[in-house]
Amino acid sequence: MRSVRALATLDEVELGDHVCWRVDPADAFADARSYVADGALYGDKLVIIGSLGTVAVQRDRLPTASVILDLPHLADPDVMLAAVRREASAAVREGFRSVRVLAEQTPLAEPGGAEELLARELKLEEFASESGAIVVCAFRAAQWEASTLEQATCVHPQEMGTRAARPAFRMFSTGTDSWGVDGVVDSECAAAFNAAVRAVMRRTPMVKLRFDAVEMIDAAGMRALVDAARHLPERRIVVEGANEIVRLCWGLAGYATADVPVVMAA
Amino acid sequence: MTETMPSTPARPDGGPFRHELYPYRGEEQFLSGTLEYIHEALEADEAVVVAVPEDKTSLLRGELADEPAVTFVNATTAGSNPGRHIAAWSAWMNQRGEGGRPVRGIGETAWRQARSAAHLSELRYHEWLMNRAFARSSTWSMLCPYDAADEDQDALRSLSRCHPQIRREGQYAPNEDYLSGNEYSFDALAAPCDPFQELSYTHGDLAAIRSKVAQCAADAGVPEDRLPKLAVSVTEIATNSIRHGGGHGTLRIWAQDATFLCEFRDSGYIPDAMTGRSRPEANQIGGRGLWLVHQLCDLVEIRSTPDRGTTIRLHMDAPQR
Repeated sequence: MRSVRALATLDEVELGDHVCWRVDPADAFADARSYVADGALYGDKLVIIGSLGTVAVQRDRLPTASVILDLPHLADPDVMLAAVRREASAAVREGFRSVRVLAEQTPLAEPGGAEELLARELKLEEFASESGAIVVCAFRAAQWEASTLEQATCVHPQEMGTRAARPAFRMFSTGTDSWGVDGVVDSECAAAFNAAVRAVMRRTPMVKLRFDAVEMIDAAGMRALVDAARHLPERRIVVEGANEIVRLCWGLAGYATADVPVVMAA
Repeated sequence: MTETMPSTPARPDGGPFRHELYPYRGEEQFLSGTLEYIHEALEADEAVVVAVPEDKTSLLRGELADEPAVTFVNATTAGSNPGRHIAAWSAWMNQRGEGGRPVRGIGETAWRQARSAAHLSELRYHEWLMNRAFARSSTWSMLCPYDAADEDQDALRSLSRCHPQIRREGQYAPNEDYLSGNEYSFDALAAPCDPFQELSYTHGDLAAIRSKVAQCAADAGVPEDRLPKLAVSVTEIATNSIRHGGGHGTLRIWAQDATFLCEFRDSGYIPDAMTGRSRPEANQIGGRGLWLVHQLCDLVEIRSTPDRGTTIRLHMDAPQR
């Protein structure tokens, strides 16, 4: 069972983790070097996406069989994920325990870049959930708009940093077209929640959201959910496992009708 | 000392919606006045909805047998918070008034069971707001029996100001005491009880507000299963401050007489006194925050003026341990 949590250091990563790492420039990627070294210790194949490896770890210090995927066409999330999956399959054949991915995310300049980033992160999240691989996504905070970074953080079940950096909610894969939500969805994170759900809805007409770990959702959060479902035609969301206060508020808010493409199941 | 609150314009006589106060003394007068009102309705083929205390329900049932045009509803299902009562009456009247059939309501509040001065004040305000809520309802009318046996003329006068008509000896007439303007004379909010805790909040503080309120509410004896309702309510009110009330506000928390209170102050203004008192539609864009708060809290007091900003007090019962 994957656990939603905050890590003090990358030493604490476990199989299946998908970690948001806000890189502190002062650290000069020292954490990355121990992450790489632990990979060798546990028998994981290292896969580096982007140029981080060349900055953080000298190439000649990388374990043998490590792979650096640093190609322009990897900006396409499908191409990126296919390349990572290939390496994961090869790792199994080669006798590694798993793959240990280190991806430095860089802002996309074109319009819709934030949405593309979410799509990319959700694919990595599904990959980590399904394969048991370890995926660490590094963000240099200075390069990012705060709202984009907040959205990205929310689609990682783990983050590395202080308590203050924890997102109000997290969304993570719980199977095919099934996503778990953890925490509180309120007006301060409603936009991030809407963006995350919209990104999920882009790929499939029906999505299941597990709300077992949602403490509460306010009016703005409920509206964000409904708006995400209505963003594209013929979409439907089934919410399962919601607690009593979430189901009560949903009914009171007037959303428990057939007109709303979100069903609050028992 | 009073504060005033503007509302949507209303006609001096209350508009087409007839809202009569019926002061009575004793069961006999109660029965004669209400039965007369009901028989007028039946003769005109109108439906009747009755929401009165249990003992009065028994009296009327005994007289009306199984009259199909008369529906008795349990007024307690709407809850004690008067902020929920307009939506409840609207639902009851709509159900009975299908096809445009005129409907009469008989609603008697159990005034002597009011839980506090604040509750009593909000009950009266609800009566006054009924005139606004149903101002355009030409097919609805309402009779509010009031047991005047205790001779408390101040209480009767206060309530009288909320009803545009008054019924005496089988006839209704314009009520000269009716507060017909667009501003309601609120009772001033009582001063917070010492000791209270106070904190300022702005964007990014919702989690801290919930945490503080949960801790204080638990200490004050609010049952654990009610804490989530409080969490949603304080989130909604603080969000309103941050989004519409100047971006920040002040929260005071205290406990008093088996009640836990949260008071939010900000510089915003709520121009529509009906905000939060109508059930939202699924396609409605906003307007759910205060509605949720009214449904989740035991009492909500709202005072809002353009010059003094908005103060909202949320009450939650905290049974004495």
